[in-house]
Order: sequence, then structure tokens, then C-alpha cells
Amino acid sequence: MTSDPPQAEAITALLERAAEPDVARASATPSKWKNTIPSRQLRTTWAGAAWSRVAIHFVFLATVLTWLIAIAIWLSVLADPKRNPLAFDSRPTLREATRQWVAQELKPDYDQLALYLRSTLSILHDFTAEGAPYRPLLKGMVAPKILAEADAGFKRDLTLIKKQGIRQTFRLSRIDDSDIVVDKDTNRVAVTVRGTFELNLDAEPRARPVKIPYAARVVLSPNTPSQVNPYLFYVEAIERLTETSKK
Amino acid sequence: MSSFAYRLLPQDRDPVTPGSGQPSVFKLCIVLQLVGLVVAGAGIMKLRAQAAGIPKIVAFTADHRAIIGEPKTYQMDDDRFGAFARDTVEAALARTEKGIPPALQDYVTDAAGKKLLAQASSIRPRAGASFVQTFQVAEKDGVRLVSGNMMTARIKLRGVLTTRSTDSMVSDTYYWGAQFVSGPLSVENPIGWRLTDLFEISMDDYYEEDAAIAAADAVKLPARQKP
Repeated sequence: MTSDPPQAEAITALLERAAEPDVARASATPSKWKNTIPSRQLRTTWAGAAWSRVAIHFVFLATVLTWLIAIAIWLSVLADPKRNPLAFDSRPTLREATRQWVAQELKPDYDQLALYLRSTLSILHDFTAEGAPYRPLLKGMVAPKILAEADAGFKRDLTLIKKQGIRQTFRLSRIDDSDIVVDKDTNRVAVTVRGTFELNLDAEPRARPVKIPYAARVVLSPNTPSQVNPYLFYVEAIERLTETSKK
Repeated sequence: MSSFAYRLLPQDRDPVTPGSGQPSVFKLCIVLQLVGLVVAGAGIMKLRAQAAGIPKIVAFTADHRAIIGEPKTYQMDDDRFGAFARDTVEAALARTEKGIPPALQDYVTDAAGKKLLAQASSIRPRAGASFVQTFQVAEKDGVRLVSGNMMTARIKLRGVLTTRSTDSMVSDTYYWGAQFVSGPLSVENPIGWRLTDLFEISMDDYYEEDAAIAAADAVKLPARQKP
């Protein structure tokens, strides 16, 4: 392979000229460097291209930062506060708050309550051998089921009542304030009443009256007074209390 | 890559080397960076989906009973406004010798609150007597919308007003007109509507539309739409 003589001479001259400053140090250069090209021009070109090494450092740095940001984002995803359910405790609505406020004022009047219970329970439980003539007056004031049960009990024992001439009178003891419980949600009133049934036997005039203790919880609901029931209460239920269920 | 020697201009005695494999490292960094961007982008999308999602809410009533339902975008409708108006008017007409319910103050304007307090003080049976007045809107046809838009609404109500005191008890059917205005939301009044006026109307006023329809039917004219 032959080269163009003028070009070959120019290259040779260029290499020789470039190698001139290194001649003095050539003896001190390690033997492994002797085969390198000691060209200043080439080294200058290489130094000018050194930015690529700077760039690759920035690329490496950007890669690290990208992954740090990605890791931070996924940590945020995993630490999502919405993973745990939130609890919402409602306050009373306007309707509930109003009813509670009004119920505080709706304490039953003790005198009216005592009068109502004394009248109602006496008419309900009193009877003679001729029957219970005033019990029908309780219609509209007492739950029909209670009246039906009272009538059924009277009919069941009618033979004995007529035979011995039994007259039953109910005496209500004093109602204690602590026995009146008001349900503010429904405005219903539960009253624990105590009293005595006195049974007089007309067939045995000399016999002393038989006294039977009585205790019951009377559940009253509020009532709008009318001709049927002029009181503020209506007897919803009467639950007889046994010895074990008494206080 | 661990050295910053590249900043130094090479000396003529330094060997010229073909490089230390930077191109392959550069390509690796580019690939890692692209993958990192994809991973970060997926994380952002996931984060956005979580932020847009509705958190799980376990709701309880004031008496600690759980509410069953799904949260959704709030929008006032006729049913909600009807319940709000019914509760507000019932609360406004619940009075004792102590005044009006404290919970009502966020549901009425200042002027309406003063008017209600004045009414409450004027209906006291006698000095020193305690009383309780309650109003219960009729379950059937108890509320009629007269007019309404985004800012104001007027309704008519029908119900039983009961006044109970130690002296007596009165109970009768009353008809009321009420006007509401939409205002700023608050914690106590989350829907923002407030009662601005409450005034008594007659039974004829309440059934005005029915009378108009009946009159129109009588002369065979097209009737107005019943609210």
C-alpha cells in the first residue's frame, strides 16, 4: 500500500515537529508510554471533549434523583392516611336538640300525676259483688287491654265474689318522687306504685278486712285532654311487680 | 467516574487512552432514568387517584348508632329542604318560659331570632308560670312550597300547636308562612339556609291553590299547577 508522497511527508513532518519538545523527556518516560502518540494537538482536542465526562456525571446524578423522587412518591402512596376509615360522630340534629330541650321542661306535675293515678287505679280495681260500675268510665283513659284483663279476672272469680260478697277497695300509698321516671325521647312516664287491696266480706260481717299488698309499674304516655280523657296522661301498661322484682 | 481528574488538561506526557467505557455507563443511566420516570409517573397517578377518592367514613348518630350509606356530592333537593324547613319551623315554635331552643340560633337570622324571642315572652300565660309550647307539622300535606330559588324560599306549613302549662292545655291547628334565605355555611348549620320570617296565615291562604283549582274547574279554565 503506497501513500501520496507529499501527504506522507507532511504527516511525518508534523509528527516530528510535535515530538520535538518530548525528546528531552523521552528517556524518563516509562517504557509502556513509548508507543503512545505524544501529540499536543490531539490532547487539546481530547481536553475540549472532556465535557462529555462532566455530562455523564450529571446524568448519573439525575438518575439517582429520579429514583429518590420515585421512592418518595411511592412511600407517600403507601402512607396514605385514607387507608384507615374515618369516624364521624354526629351531633344532635335540630329536631333532636329541640326535643331534648323541650323534654327538659316536660316534667310531669306531681299533683296532677298523683290525682290521675289515684282516680284511675281505684276505679280500675274497685268492685263489689254487683260488678265494677265505674270501670267503663276509664275507656279512653286506659289501654283497652288493661280493662279487658280486669273484666276477665272479675268474671273468672265471679262465683266466689258473689258467694262471699267480696268488696274490693284499692288504697294507693304515697308515690315517691324517685319512683317517677321520665323518658325524654318519648315523653312517657313510668311510675312505680304501691298500695293495698282491701277485701271486705259481706257474708262475714265480723271478719276483718283481708289486706293484700300490691306493687306495679304503670307506664303513662302524654295525652291531649279531651272529653274522653280530661287528663294529661294515658295508661299504656300496668306491670305487676313481684316480691323479687321490687326494689 | 469517581475522579474529577478530567478537569485537568492532560499533559503531553500522559498517555492517550481510548476511554473508560463511558458510553455504556451513559446508556445505562439513560435507561435507568427512563424507568425511574415511569415508576415516578405511576406513583403520581396512584397518588392522584387516592387524593380524588373518598375516604371510608364510619358515621354515627348522636346516640351512637351507625349510619348506613354512601357519601356523594352534596346537592340540595326538595326532600332535604322540606325536612330542614319542617324541623326549623317546629324548633322556632317550640317555646318555654326560658325562650326558644338554643340550637335554633344558627338556623335563624338575628332579626328573626329577636322576633321569635319577643313572641315567646308575649305568650306566657301569667307571670312566673311555666309552659311548654310545641308545634308539630302535619305528616300529610304539612309543607307547601310557595316559591324558591338558589337564594330565597317561601313555604306554607300546617300543623298542631300545643301549649301546655300548669294551668291549662290548648291544642289547635295553625297555619304558618315561613321565609328562608341562603347564607354562609357553618359547623352548626352546614346547609346555610336560615329562617328570616315566620308569620301566621289563615286557612284560606294555605288552601289558596286548591280554591283556585276548584274555581278553575268550575268554569272549565286551565288550572294552575298544584305545588
